[in-house]
Amino acid sequence: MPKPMLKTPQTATQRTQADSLLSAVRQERQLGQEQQHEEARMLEKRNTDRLLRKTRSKAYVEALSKLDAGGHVQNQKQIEEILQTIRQEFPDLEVYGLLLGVVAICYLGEPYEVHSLAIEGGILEHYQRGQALPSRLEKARGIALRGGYQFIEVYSDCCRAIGKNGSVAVILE
Amino acid sequence: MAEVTSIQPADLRKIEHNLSAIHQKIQVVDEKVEVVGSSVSVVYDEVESLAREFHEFVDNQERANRLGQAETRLVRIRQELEQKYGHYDMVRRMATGILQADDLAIVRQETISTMTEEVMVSTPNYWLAPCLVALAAWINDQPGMAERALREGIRRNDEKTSLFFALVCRRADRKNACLKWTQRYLANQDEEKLDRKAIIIIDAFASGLLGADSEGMISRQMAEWLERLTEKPGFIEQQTKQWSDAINLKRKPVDLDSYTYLRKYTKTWPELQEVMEGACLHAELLAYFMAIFEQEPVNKALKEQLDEILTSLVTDFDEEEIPLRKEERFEQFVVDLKGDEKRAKQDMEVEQTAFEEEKDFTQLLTDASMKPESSNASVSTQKFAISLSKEWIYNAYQDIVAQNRMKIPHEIVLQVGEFSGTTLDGQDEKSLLTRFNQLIDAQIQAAIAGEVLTGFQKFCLAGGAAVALLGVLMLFGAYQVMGVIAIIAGIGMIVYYHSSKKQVEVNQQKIRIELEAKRKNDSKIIRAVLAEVVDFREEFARKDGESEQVLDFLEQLSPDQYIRRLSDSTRRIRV
Repeated sequence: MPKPMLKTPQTATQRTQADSLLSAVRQERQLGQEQQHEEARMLEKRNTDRLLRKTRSKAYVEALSKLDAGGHVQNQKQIEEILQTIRQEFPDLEVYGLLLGVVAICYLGEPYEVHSLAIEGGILEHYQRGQALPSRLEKARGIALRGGYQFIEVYSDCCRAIGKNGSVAVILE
Repeated sequence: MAEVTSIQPADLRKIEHNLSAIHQKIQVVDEKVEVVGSSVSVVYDEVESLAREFHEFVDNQERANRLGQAETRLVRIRQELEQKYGHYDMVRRMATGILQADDLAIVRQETISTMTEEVMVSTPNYWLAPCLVALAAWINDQPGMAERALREGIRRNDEKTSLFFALVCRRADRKNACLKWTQRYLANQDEEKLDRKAIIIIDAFASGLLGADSEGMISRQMAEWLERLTEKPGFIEQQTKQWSDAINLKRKPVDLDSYTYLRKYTKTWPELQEVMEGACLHAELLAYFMAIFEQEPVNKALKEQLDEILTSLVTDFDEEEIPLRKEERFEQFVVDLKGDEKRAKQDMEVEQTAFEEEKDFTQLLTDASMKPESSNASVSTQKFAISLSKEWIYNAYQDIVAQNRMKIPHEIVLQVGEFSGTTLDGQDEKSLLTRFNQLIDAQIQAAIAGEVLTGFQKFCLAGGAAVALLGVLMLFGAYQVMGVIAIIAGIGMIVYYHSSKKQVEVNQQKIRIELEAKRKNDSKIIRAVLAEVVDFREEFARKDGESEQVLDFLEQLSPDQYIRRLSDSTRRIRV
């Protein structure tokens, strides 16, 4: 009788030790996995940044420079075409999750100041002086108006100012 | 009843008199309060100015103390350098001397041998000493001795010995030997840990001094380095940051004193000042690049250029001297900046990277391009480094330009007295002045509304007339004396009414004059601010537009253009 009783706690201790060792190994593995995951995420972001740094094509610049060509109201078909051009510009990227919208100076004349194309929903809108843009796009208003760029691509962590020749300037937040 | 009728006229006169006296006294007190107010303002200004002067005095004193300290430290550091590494200087001077003496053939070979052997004994562990012995042996045609000395030189510092003999062989026009030594030197390099000596090879390469064979090899080596570095994750971000920092070093404070009104009457002034400084960077940077690229091609003979590189190799301080040299540089900054330790630290931090013992190839290019003084880069190396790095410079510079433009205030906020307004380009004078005039009109209305007759004063006209009429009626009855008194009291009340009315009119007129003067003065200020806004926007647009010239300049650069081809080379360098 005493033997099993003595043995039982021993086994329990061993199991506890084994468990704690296992959990430490598991924790280490988990940390390693998290680190790997973080590194993979960073690598992906750097690759994305590298791709988004590339000079934009002429067709892309032209398409996005004509957002006010149709006056106040642009038909959905035209907007679809523009969105298609955006998709074609970044074939190696799922740009829809990254690019929030495009903001540019509006040439419709007073009282319009800027217009924006929100990628989600494909909504094109023109804004008057003092009228706020959707919150995530508002940060690009100033540079769209005064920067002299063709248009500004707005991302969650930065803006990319696109010049007439398709050149890209990154403005980190 | 009799008591009441006899007291009433006496009370009215007394009240009238007291009211008048109180009014006058209040006016006097008001004037005195105004005087005290202005005196307090003067005292406040003077105290502020005194505090400012005091802080300036303390700062100056601290700087003067630090300056004295820095001068003393400099003397101590230089003495230590002399004591510890002074004998290296002798070896360095001798290296140049031997090379020159050999060219001129005016020193006996035995003398050279004896001197180099003495140096070998007196400077143990210094790599240059056995190199000099080997050189002397080579000149004296003693291959055994030369080989032994070379082995020792390589043991002490393989890289420097290889580089030294590569350059010496090139100088002697022994191309095969030069190539072997250069290969040995490059084989020792790691593109992520290049030391300052690598710039010498780049110097020679960029100047076309290494000959045809070595050009191909070095360019291949550089291409490999760049390829490996570019593949590294985060390389582009690192490059952009590196170049942004280097470009921002050229940013300087600008004198914007001419914008007196804008500075004083706009809340947006700090932002305006910052963006203008950012815009002035373009001209600074263009002038910097132009100055490098417009410098005359080096006309010196190849031998002289080689001497310069060799001199750089044999005269520059070595790694072990760097800690003391850093200290010396820092104290020198403190002296140069008249004791301003904070700025000295900033400058030192900026220059720190140039002092780093090891750097990667691209950092070396950045330092050669933007910090030629501290990286000892020649003009040809600068040209080559800028050309080779143009893509990264272009990207970093575009980002800097865009970041500055992002900060441009779209609306400029004016604050003139109680008037606050915004303008975009200073063109909205009419609407702003209309709003300002409305404000002044409202202020006049409000001030005048407070300056009117009291109820009693208004009553005095009708009341006085009634009392006087009652007195006239009494003259025809039994109370003639009372009648006369009533007439006098009635006339008194009417006179009081008119004098009060006149006073109110005078006060109202005074308010109008003051506020009209304010209208005139502040309108002028608003116009002046708007005029300066126009000027500012124009000046900014002009200066910001200069960024295009920088970009055009960079676009036109090509690395091939700045590597001089030797006459016996048929290959172009492609990096």
